Amino acid sequence: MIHIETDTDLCIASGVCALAAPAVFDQDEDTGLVVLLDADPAEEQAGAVREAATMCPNAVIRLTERA
Amino acid sequence: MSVSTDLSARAVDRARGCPFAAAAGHEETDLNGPVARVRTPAGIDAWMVNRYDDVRDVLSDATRFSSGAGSINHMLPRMWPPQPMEPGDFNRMDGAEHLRFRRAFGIELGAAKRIDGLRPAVQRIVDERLDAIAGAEQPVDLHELFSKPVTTAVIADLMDVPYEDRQLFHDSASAALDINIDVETATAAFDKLKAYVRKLLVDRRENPGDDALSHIITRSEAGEKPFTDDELESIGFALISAGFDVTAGMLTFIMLTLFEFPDEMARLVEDPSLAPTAVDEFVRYLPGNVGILRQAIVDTEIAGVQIKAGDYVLAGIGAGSHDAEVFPDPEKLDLARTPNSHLNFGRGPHACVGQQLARLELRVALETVLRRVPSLRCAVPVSEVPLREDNIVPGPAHLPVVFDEVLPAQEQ
Ligand code: HEM
Ligand code: SF4
Repeated sequence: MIHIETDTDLCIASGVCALAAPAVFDQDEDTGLVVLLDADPAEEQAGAVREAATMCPNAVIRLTERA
Repeated sequence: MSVSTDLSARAVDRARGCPFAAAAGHEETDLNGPVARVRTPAGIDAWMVNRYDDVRDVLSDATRFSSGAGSINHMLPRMWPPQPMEPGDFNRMDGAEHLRFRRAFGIELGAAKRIDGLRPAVQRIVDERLDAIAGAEQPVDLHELFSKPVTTAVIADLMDVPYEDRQLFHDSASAALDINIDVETATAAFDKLKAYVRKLLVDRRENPGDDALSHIITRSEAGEKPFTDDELESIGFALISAGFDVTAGMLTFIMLTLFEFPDEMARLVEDPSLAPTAVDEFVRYLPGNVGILRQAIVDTEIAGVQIKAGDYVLAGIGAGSHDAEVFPDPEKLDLARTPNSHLNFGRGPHACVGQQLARLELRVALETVLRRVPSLRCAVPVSEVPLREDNIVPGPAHLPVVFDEVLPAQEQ
């Protein structure tokens, strides 16, 4: 299982995460900043979430693996 | 599949070996090594960084590497040494100052829903441009008559400005990336566009509409530290001129590459659902901006090389996007490549503002051309297509094509 944390202070509203894993990341209607929908997503989201974390331009998304 | 055909070899050479030479006293340097000491066309010596992890680190850490010198000025002799920064030139800002600007763009160009909402407009524009070339005399220059009009019309739509004003945008955008243009001509083109944006600002303040600039103004005025007119001018200027030219160049380069690799073209025609991964693979694979300029603000180290505060560093996004440690078989064009976290839209706080828009435009254009013009082919051997010599970003200068017919657009 992965656990997700986001540091919104760094977010530049690029939308990369919401494109890669729309079930897990959304964006605020007014600011475009990341909104974490699910901090402990199901296993089938893991690939998309890892992609989002790697592609996030400003290292906003931190993942920890949990057994 | 081999990529060492004439065309790729020419384009890739230009992007990799050239335009940098080894710096004086570093003649032995391996230009493709992890860190190479190079001399840039503007005549400055810089550390060229080529490995994926190092490129990402340089671009991601503004506390060590500042954007203050401007990200492309090392390529332009006329821009060196850099002029004092103008108000609102956010591409040269760092930290919180820069973030203030980036957040103004985010919701307009980065929000996934906003981009989805633009899709019908992009589709309409692409269809209109294909209708227009259907009756044109062949061969048709796909760059002038399709790629440029499409990406220009999309930005005009986003800003709600008349497409008829496009010459102004084109002049300014090409001046920004032209290696050989003289300072006076470039300044004149920039000044004209700035004056245009000024008028636009006055108009949008009085009659706010549903366009990106009006939204940015309205949101800014409701915020804690509203943008000044000078700052808004820079924002409007950047939105209008920063991206359509690069995106048009990319679209033409993609079409040329498909002519060069007919098997890949056939694969895409057969399975159009590959379009999204194909777009990112083209952006990864094709040579673009060779290096993005940063300046070290502290003494530091990259791949074991000592970098002193004040040294210039070039983040080799093209080389990093071909790093075999990260991309299996990096010289192979693989339209289904996943994952594909290439660096050609940049990384870190300055990563491309327009990347989602560019992805959308390229995807819709590619899908639609392949669907509506299945007989499209290059009018000359691909090795004879002229490449741009005067622009920082490599790509075809023109792309002459012929076709039998343009099929009707799909109902939306
Ligand atoms: C295929 C097309 C494109 C490519 C390859 C591309 C590439 C890039 C790269 C590498 C950067 C990073 C520069 C840096 O780190 O200083 C960048 C920044 C930027 N891009 Fe793009 N771009 C494209 C399309 C667009 C479009 C369509 C727009 C506008 C609508 C745009 C607007 C910008 C702006 C405003 C910046 C400056 C961001 C900042 O300094 O914070 N780009 N682009
Ligand atoms: S990818 Fe990163 S910077 Fe972009 S919206 Fe998501 S969290 Fe923010």
